[in-house]
Amino acid sequence: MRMLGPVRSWMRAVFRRDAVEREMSDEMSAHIEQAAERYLARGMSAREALFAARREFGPVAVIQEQARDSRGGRWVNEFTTDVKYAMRYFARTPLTSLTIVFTLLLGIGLNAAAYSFGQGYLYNPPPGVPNDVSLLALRGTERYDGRLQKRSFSYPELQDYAAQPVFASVAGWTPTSVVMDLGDGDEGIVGAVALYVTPNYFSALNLRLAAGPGFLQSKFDDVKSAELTTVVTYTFATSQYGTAASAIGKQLRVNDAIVTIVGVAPRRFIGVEPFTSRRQLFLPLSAFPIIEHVTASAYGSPDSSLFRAVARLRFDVDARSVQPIVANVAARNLSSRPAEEHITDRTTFAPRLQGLGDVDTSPGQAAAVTLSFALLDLLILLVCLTTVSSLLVGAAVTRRHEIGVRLALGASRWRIVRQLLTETSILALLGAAGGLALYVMLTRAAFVVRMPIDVAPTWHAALFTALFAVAVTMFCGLSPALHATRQGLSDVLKNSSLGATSRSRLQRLFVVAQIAFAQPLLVLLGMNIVSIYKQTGSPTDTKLADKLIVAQFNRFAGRDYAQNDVAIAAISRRLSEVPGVSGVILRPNSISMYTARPIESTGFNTSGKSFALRVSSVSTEYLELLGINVVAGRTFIPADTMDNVQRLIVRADFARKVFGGGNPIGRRVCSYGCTKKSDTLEVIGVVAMSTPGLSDDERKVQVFTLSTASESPSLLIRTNVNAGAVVPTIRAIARAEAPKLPIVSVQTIAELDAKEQETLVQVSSATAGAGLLTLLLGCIGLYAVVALSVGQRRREIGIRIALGASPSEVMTLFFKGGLRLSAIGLAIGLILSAVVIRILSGSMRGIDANPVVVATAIATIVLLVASVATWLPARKAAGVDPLSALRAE
Amino acid sequence: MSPKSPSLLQGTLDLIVLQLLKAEPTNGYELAQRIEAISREALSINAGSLYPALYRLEARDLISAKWEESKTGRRVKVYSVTASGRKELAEQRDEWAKFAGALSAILKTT
Repeated sequence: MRMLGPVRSWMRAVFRRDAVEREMSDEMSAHIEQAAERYLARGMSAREALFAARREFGPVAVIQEQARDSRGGRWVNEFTTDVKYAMRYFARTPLTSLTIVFTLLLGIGLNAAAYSFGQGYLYNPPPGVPNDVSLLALRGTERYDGRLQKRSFSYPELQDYAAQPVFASVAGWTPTSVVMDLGDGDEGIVGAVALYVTPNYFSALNLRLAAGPGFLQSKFDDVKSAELTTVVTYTFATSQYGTAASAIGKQLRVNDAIVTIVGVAPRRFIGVEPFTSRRQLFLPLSAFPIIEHVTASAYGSPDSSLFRAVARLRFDVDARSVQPIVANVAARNLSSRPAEEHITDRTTFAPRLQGLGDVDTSPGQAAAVTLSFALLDLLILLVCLTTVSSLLVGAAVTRRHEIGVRLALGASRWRIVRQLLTETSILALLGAAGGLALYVMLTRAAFVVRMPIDVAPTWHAALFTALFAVAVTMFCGLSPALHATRQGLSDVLKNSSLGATSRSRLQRLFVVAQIAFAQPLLVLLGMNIVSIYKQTGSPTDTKLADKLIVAQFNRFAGRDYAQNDVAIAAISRRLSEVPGVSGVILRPNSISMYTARPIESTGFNTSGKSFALRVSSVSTEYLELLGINVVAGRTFIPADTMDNVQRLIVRADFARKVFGGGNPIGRRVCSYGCTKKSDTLEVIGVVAMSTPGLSDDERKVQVFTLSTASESPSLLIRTNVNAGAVVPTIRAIARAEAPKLPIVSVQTIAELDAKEQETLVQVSSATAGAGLLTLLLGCIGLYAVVALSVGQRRREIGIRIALGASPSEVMTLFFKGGLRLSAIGLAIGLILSAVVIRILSGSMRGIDANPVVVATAIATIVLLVASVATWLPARKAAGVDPLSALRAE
Repeated sequence: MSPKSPSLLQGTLDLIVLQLLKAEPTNGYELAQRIEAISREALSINAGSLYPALYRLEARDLISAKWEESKTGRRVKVYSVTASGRKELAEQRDEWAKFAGALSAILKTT
């Protein structure tokens, strides 16, 4: 209770300061007046009595100061004063202050976000799934012709896992694409991702639905009777129906089957292996045969490997005992299947359900990814802190004269240091607050774009980063403060007028460090941008894009494939008669991946190593319709369908890679085991260009084979007028010919390209933006150090010009100095970049960019931008008037 | 007064102020006069010691203050001891008595 008194006292001193001061003044005045009355009573005059009373009392101001100290809370008044001075200083130097805050904001926010992304990638369970040590992911891997890939399980294998006593429950799922009719006419027919799940899926994951009771069926093997219900994702429910509760009871047409929404998944949950589709349904496994128009054996057969699985460990079971059990189950089930000669090294394991769960989850890979994120974090923090340090040191140097004057006026060293620390603290705290806000925004953005990893904010990481950055910033602010107040007053004033100081050397060091640390970051960002562009491929040639249309129909409508195929064929015939339409074909249904080897021209001996083939099976008219010219050999002809020879048309760059520089016509490759003649394919033609962009997969096709398939849900239409003008005609004809056949979409290639490019632009813009910011911060630091140097050497510049130096010579002097700093920073940065890329090489396997080319390009850009940042203040130096520079001394 | 031991004066000043304010609440000037009178001018407390002591004791809730009109019609701030102050005074008096007794015993040795 005794603590309340002092607290109350200083709170009163702070918040009712005027009243307290007035009281104290009145009290001491009353004391003096009473003393004066005593002297008056002794016979002094009123004036003499007052003087005597004041002399007896003592110096009023000093006594009031002592009285304030004894009251407590003085530090609050001092802090308030310091903050006011700090605000005035920020108002005088807005650019420097804002840059420091902005740099800290970016450094802290990005650093914390990178940490969270790393956590999510490696350690967090999927979004929305509780962090539960008893949840295991059942994972299988295998090598197909040497390539590591995931292994799905058959339903009998799933049942076998579920029967193991170590597991309290096992749940499985198999994903597929479906066509969903949302009931908005043609615009309501959309593609969606459906996950057929065992009925215990949500209970096994211990998830509580956001709305609705969920599936009627609840047990793992409750699949005997079909249940046509669905649980939708939270995003889908709210975007379609407003609220999660409103979605319950609504009906959807999925592949022409009516399903009823009986549940909405928890808010952030988008599946154990999340898809990025905005439309996602969870359907009970019993609905699979009806919706997919197949029999139950399609998923129930031991040969069908469709499922992924999770398992919940029984509470009394040690996780380490699971592995041999899982391996045994896998071996037992795989041994009952026919041998597959291309598949080797099958493994099955059951790690904890965490991380993105890539195919190779070896500890080595996890360590490499951890190191990558740690390195990224470190680089971001270093660039941020060197920039801030450089600016703080520069600011302290420019204020030496001000500090000297304040010392001369009686301020103590501690007072000055405290003032500078207060300014640094305010900047640091503002930066930290902004950084934490940025961190929250970035983690929320990850949720909005449906990133397949859980990047829920980890507050301990963010706070640690913020506190670390604040501490270092304050230290960087403290050092110049201590140095500036260490020297004697005359030294400070003399040094500030001469302009030479060791602090500027420190600032130059920070700028070099900043450019050096920024280099690896910029190189990594640059490599990512290049890789994104390469992987996405180039958009279709504009002329062609405006003359190609894709019309997609719902083949599942009415569950009558044959009738729908006939309708699509009829539409195709009608469209080919439309003026302006130069060709209509069925769009290739799928793109396959083969592994193949080149073989000798005669005989059957293989030569060379195997390679992956991306193959599109097309009709005879396909290449001509798309304007793909055959530059060697010939194209497909109808007669090619009459025999059993498999023929290939290959892209020229692919032919060079596989067959070397020779003529590829007549060369052969074989697929699979190369054991039968029917495995061989003969090259009959070569095309030069990429397949025009119908989709990203289609653009990457390397090889065409001939397809005799007569069904496809899509038509490809070539026009000789602007395609957009023909789209309404296509819709009208489709409705007239087949009124019951739903149109999923009719779009020009230009529209499809635009959508893809939009995503590419967004991603690469964000990456490029980050790179530009890093570059900008580096240049601000460089500008500041050269500008400071100009300011400090004004007298010297004045003398040089007075002695006959030309302005261009002065400018060259400072320009060279600034460039020298940049060059040193670049040289160190290039070495650092090489080291970083070497360390991260394991994690960068998916990055398709030449690091040497990117690093050289980045170094050139940095040098150019640094030159501009140096030239501006150097130009200012050339404009110094010698008279005013010398007079100021 | 220039005490030979300033720290001793500060410790005793709080005791003196509490004792005298317990005897009769008064303002700062009157209190200084009373200290001088009772000690027969052996102790003279200047304003630079007195007011910090008063504010310190007030901050600790050992004394309280209110503005009143004096006999001469002047508005003055009158201090009085609180219950906590009385308790503190009793404790300090005991300590002082012990200290004085110990010092006296030492000074009596030859």
